[in-house]
Amino acid sequence: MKLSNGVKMYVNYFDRVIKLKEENPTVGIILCKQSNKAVFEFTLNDKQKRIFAREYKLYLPGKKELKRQIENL
Amino acid sequence: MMKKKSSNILFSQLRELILEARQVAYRNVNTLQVITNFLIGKTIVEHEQRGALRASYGKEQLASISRKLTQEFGRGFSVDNLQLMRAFFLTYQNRFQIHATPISETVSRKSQNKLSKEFVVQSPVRKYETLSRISANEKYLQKLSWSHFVLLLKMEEDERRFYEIESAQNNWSVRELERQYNSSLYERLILSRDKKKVKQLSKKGQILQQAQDLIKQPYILEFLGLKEEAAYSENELETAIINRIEQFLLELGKGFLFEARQKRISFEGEDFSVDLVFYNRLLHCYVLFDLKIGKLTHQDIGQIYPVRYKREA
Repeated sequence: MKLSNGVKMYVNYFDRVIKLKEENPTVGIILCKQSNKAVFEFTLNDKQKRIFAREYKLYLPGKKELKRQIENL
Repeated sequence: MMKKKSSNILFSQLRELILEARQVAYRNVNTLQVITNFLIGKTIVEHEQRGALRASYGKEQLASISRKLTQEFGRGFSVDNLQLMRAFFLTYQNRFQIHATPISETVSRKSQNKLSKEFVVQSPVRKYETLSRISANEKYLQKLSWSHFVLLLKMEEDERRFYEIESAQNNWSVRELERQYNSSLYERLILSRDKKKVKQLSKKGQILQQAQDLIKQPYILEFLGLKEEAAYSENELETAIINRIEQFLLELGKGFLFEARQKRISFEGEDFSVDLVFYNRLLHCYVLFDLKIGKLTHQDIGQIYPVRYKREA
């Protein structure tokens, strides 16, 4: 399995073919139901930090829950 | 033909004039309402400080005042609303400026109220002119309507500052502000930032400087109306997003423009397609979205999947 493709490939393609010189590097976001930090970091190895995996939710989150998460940061 | 065209032009010119006038009028009414409510709050607080309204008697008095005001002016002066105006003044007293008034016939006095010591406060408020002499220290506050402030009053200091700035900068309607607040935008941005940048949120709002600043954790797509447990395909998720593109753009945040869905690219003889292509005009970069209805796997990041396999899966 070639690890440097997928979303990474789209992003690289846009940077090489579509992006103009004066524009900034392309950002890629994988919007998924459930993320997996370990998988993501292991596979991606993205030092430039422009590819992200983020979860989506189909309901409004509980503010209390988020506040708790913030306190635990 | 020509006649029709020129009449169309005339119509659209007149229409624009009227719309513009209405907008100005609307804005002025809004500003006036904010300022009046501020002054109502101020007057109530001053009364309290003089001991004129106290404890349970104060409550009764407020109720009777509310009845009288409602009788004369109609809706908008319930006890709850009067309390909101009071809270509004207490929360924002240092952020609205009351300018000294040159009107000679009114008695000006240095306010004994410590909190507004820098300003000469005219009391009591009698003249319309006084209203125009109140301005916000922070210009952006002037863009917010009373309904915005009612929402903002519910919030804690830091997050309120953040939502004030963002509402003004992005021209959020009350509804949009409400949605952003209910979706806990502020908390989500905190969760996706390092500590140093969190403080910035309540001082400057959301600032885009690097790719990371675009990101939130998690993204909230409640407006799609998809059920958490229901089975839907990636294609359906994508279509739902396109159908609600305005809300999705609001969720993405500032500066985003939508370019394409399923954008085809050819690479080494194979066709691929990118689910959603956006552009951020503030960061000057493309932002590509890949949608996954399941759990993130190595393949999502790493493996090549030609478009014909991907969509059939």
